[in-house]
Amino acid sequence: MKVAIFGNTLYAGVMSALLSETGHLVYWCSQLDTKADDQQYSFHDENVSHLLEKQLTTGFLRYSDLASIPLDIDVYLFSFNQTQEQQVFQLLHSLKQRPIIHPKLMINASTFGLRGTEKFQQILSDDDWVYLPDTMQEGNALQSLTQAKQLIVGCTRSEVQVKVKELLRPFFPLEQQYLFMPILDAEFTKLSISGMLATRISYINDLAVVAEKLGIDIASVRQGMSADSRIGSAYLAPGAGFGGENFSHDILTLANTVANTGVKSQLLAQVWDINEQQKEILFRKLWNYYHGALQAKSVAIWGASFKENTSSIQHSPIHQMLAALWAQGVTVHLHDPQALDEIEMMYGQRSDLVLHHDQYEAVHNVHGLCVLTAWKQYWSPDFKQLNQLMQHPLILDGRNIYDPHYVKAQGFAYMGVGR
Amino acid sequence: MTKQIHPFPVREQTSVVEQLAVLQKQFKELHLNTLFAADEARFKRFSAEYDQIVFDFSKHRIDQQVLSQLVDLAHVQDLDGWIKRLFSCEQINYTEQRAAMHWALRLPKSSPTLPVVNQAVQAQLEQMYALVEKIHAGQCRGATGEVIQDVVNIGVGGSDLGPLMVTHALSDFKVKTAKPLDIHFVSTMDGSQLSGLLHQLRPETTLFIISSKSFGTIDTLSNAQTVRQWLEKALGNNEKILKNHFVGVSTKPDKMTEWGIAPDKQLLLWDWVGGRYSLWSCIGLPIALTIGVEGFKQFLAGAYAIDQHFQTAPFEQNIPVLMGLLGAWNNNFLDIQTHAVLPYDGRLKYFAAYLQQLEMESNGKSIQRNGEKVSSVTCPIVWGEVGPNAQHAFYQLLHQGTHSVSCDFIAPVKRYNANQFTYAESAEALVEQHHLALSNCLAQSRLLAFGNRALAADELQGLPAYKQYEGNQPSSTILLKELNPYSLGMLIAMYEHKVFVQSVLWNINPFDQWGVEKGKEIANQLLPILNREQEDLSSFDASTQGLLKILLGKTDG
Repeated sequence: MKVAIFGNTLYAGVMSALLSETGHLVYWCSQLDTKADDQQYSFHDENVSHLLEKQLTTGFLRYSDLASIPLDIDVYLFSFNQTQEQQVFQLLHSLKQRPIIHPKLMINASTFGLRGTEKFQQILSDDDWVYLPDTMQEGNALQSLTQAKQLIVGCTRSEVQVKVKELLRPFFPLEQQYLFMPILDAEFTKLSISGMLATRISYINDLAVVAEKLGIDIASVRQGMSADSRIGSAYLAPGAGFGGENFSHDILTLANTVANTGVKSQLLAQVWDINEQQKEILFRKLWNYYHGALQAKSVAIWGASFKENTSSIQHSPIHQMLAALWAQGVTVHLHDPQALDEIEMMYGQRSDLVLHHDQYEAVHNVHGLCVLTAWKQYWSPDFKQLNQLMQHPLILDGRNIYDPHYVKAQGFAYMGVGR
Repeated sequence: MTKQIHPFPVREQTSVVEQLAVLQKQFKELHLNTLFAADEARFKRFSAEYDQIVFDFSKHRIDQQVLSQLVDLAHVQDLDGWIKRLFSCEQINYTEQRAAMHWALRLPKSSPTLPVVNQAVQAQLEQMYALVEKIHAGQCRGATGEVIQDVVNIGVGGSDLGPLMVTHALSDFKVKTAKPLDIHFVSTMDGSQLSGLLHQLRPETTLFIISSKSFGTIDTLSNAQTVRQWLEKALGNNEKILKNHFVGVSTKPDKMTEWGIAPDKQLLLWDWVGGRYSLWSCIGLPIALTIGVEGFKQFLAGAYAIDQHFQTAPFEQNIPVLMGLLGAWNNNFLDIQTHAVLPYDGRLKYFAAYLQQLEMESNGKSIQRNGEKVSSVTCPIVWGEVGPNAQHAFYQLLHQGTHSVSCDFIAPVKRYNANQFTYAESAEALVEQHHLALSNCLAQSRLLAFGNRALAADELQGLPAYKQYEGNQPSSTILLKELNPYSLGMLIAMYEHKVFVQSVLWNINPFDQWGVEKGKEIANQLLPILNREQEDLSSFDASTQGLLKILLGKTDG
């Protein structure tokens, strides 16, 4: 089949790579407003990038701008992030101008809340619209898609289902691998999955606060819970709060949806609030450690991106930390392997923020070190050097990546989350 | 009223008073219907407009002659001179040797007037603004580092009524804050409000403002002590509590320090601010916390505008002067001894209570500045309620009772027009409700003034006596373009200056309050008995002895 893929998300990249690998002819248009040779994507995933490069050389994958996409495309797939809704509308209107023979298979894989697909359908109403929820896990993108037990598809018309199954047959050859349901149901399912995962994180964070007060190490509790096959280990790590653009947006959309139906449910609002609280937990620990006397102190932070292996700082706890520390007159020395440019773009030059490209440089003369993102390079630092460089040997471990006993034995004051 | 010495010739005081006495005889029997019939242009003649305020006083029992005699009375009492003395550093509060410079609290930052005072005022305001911004940003923290989300104002009298009234009145102008923020007020010494409030609050996220000019008010300090224990119970007895959960507002930094308020959490005011005039100072912190720094600046600007108007407008068009003169005319000449304040806007719910302190604590006096007893009556009884609610309560007495009552009707012209998040969804229906309130406001003042004449002619035929309305109750109507921080600042300053005008007419000192001091002392004599530290009741009167015995559980029956 001839497939056109629009959008610069990780999902768009993965689908381009995988579909072209199986012999589909794929035209990927990632940027609507630039030339095809400026191909850009918004993700960092080496496996996906390698596969994409390989497919380009085979000729089954072509980077393309809108104008050079042929008219005889069988399947259009749209995968945008939620800030790009207007661009999608423009794109659909320009597609409408083209002399395409309808109907075509139109796949929406972007999350624009409930009835998002319906809005697209109103523009190109002669086509066959389906919704494919993007439930890909960052950091494990290819496997999470190809090895899914079942694929959720928002599509109820059997003649359209046939087209979907033909497109995805190489990955999902069996009938029972498809879970067809109405589009609205699928959209709500997608949000509900994010809501469930967020609930798990806020639940463990809530327990961590209690554990701390009772002198229990939440790490043991977490291991014990994970050992129960009904629970499993995913999304159970206590820490300084979840972030990320799409995930956070899903939770807010779901919470608003619930609120606007008039149903009296506060669970998701609380999940969100707990997480917002959690984002400044390291600040509160610092505050307590110094009895509120933070004026004119300096603090190092390792990690600004909302999770490791990305430069995205959207909804990252770094923002709450900076605001809280600055309000108390603290100077922040920040290191991050990838996100410093984003930070500088957002906050500009200021005297109470010093950006460091070397993680050890950042801790020079500071009164405490906060680890906010679990980048691999932070896991096994040179503790002796840290101790020598820091003004006061205090480590606040926002991701519980260190062994408390070992760190304390190195002469540090140590505090994790829930331990 | 005493004789004044003037550098320039003015009419003899006695002749003005005599002239007014003649008019008094004439006007006591004169009906407002007659006055309106005689002059088509009454509204035009007897209303004044300034900035966002319209003051209609046409429904008062006056004519041009009365008005000019009243203005003459102001002149012979040297109101001009007194206004100049008020707007100076002179210690016109002579019984306490203090100036009365609340007007200096609303001087613009750039004003060249009294640079030293202005600088001190601005410095305190800036400190307060910084605290407000910090709280609004969600960066003011309690002992555990959690964000402050509830602020409780502990104060009484001027440290309570003013901030409470304004905070309520400007609730539509509540600014959005990073985290939800609620303001609470606690005043009564018996702990009534605290007992209901504390169990709803979390110690970790609650900040207390201890607001006391003298920092010695027992009501406030007893409440403060209770909350301090409440905090200590939850968070431990340590310095962090004092440092992070208390703000003090007072003239006495040493007393605040002694109590334990951290130096950087002390906001100051000065002896030259009377308690009932202190909402413009840092006592207004709850106001600023509600409407934000910009809102508070607007509030001050509104009052400043009235300060300018009061000092410069000719008396015939000077709203506070007119309010004062009309009040004195009703009170001293028409023998109307009570004055009702009737806002047609539920947000002004506490306005009457606030005015009761402002007017009655200021002018409820009977000794003149020369030490002699006054010969005429002074401050009337001030009372009131939100108009539409009062219509179902005491309006019966206004319309058909035996008392003469003068009224102030207060209403905003526009409401629900700012797309504020609190009401935006139902704005259309609410606007209609506002129109309903306005129509009631006008209807009531008409009926009070004109009685039966306000009814249709066919309605009147065969109307039994008990359904009849006599009318002739005078009233003012004050219209605000809308109720906002600026116009409310104007409205309050108008009443402040009205009170001053009347104090000049009656030759009394409006800035002291000796009548509320002694009761506190006598309470101090009784407390040891109720605490069973002292047994001897013989120094008390029979009634007090009897009551004490019951309270101590010593009676047989």
